[in-house]
Amino acid sequence: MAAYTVALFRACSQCKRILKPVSAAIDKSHVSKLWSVLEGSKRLLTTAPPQSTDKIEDKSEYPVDFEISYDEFKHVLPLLPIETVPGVPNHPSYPTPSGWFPPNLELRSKQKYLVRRTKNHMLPVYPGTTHKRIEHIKTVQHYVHIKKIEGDIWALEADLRLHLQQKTGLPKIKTQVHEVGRFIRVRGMYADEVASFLFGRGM
Amino acid sequence: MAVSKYMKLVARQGLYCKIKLREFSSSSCRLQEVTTPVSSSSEQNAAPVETKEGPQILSRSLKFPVDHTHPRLAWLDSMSSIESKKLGLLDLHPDIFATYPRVDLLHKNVHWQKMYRYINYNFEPSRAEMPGGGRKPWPQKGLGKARAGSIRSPLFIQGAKAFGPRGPINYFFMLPRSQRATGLRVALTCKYTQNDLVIVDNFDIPTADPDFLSEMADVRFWGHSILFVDDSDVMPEKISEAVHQIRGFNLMPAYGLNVFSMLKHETLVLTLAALERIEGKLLEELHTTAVETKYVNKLRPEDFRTRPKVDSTMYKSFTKPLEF
Repeated sequence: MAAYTVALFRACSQCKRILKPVSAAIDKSHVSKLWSVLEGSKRLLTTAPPQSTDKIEDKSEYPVDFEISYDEFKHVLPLLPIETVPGVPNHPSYPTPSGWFPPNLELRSKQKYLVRRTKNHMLPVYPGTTHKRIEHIKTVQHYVHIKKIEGDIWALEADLRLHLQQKTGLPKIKTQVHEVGRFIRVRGMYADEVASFLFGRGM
Repeated sequence: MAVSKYMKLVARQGLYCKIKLREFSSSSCRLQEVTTPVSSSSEQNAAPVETKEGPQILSRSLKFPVDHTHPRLAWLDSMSSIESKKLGLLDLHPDIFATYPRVDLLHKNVHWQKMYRYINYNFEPSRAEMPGGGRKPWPQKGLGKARAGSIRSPLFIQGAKAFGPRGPINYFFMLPRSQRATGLRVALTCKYTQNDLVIVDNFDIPTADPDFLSEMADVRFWGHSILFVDDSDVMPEKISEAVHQIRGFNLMPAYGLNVFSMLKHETLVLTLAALERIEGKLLEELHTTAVETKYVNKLRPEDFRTRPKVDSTMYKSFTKPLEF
């Protein structure tokens, strides 16, 4: 490395004008970087990385007397945000005070279809709206979106439609089945009805 | 060729039957309970157990277990010899290796991978940029001809093109994070269900001779194009040397795994470490607490210029000569 810097200085000393800026530019870090590139990846892997330039010039305001402890990092861990959603804690009885209860596995396994819970342990039933024009009048269409369906999606749609027809007394309930995307859309504000239907099937 | 294809089919059928048998034997109890007692003190996730025949892995604890299906199974293979040597059976998470085949997301991922790096260099000059055309070609009235203002009008032969392609245009966009993760899960599922997924303990092969590796691929019916995926990006020397000399064989670190490469290669060979990494990362993505945010590209063309854009209008209005 030293020989390299000497060669650079020699080359620069022939031209006095550019000696100043070049000598200022030749920093330890710059040369070491250049050196590592020339040496190739093997050298990079085997030797230690070049020393990082310390940008902090005035260290007087930083504490000097401190001790590095790795054992006490466990007290920091609970303060860090949780990266993944934790599992359900063991409750003494269901439903919990918030009204949540787990899926009924026995009842659920009897069905041809399955609606899985989301990662937050809730039912994937979402109400939504779309805007539609009927004869130049803007109207709001309500729908219910059911996601995470596995198994026979058409059987679920038939059961759900029949259930909603019986509940509402309407002759027709409009549904949309997306077989590839694995979701069902039901037109109308039936989110609660759909949820109660799915809870009744052990989902 | 036809014979080898038939052999491949037979081999696949055999493996499939074996897996099926294992699945039918019991969905809940592990194989270890039936065959050999395994030391329960192994704290590692997939610890090889030393037996008389050699190290064997018979179970693998899965993170985020599911209750609606059983874990899928795969052989743990070895690359130490040309013939396959089964070291054990591995449990695979059904959310990663048995998802619904969302072919639309597969296509979206491939399209994204092609388009985000594509730059369209097509360029057509406008009528203002073409030479000539400043003069009115013929008078407005009195000739019985259509009125024309310039010979470079788009109506003219050798005229300019209206709304033509303009310059280098990038088609960069980001597919939503969840869709990228789902694409990977679906691609892995497809590889597994088509029996194109091979899991090996490591990439330690006895020689760096490419013939050894190609013969191994022939004997094990891996096909002509194989993607080897390891956990780290520092690969063992022998396999790197061998793979480098065979066309169609590629090495890749786990962080470089993508849908396009998986679909492009016939067989996907994962190391156990790579499997752990990929499965862990995808499961983390499935159960993450982070709220997905839309990617907004804040980079402008100005950010890529080496020097700042010169405002030419300033120089035009500058009438006084500069004083030095």
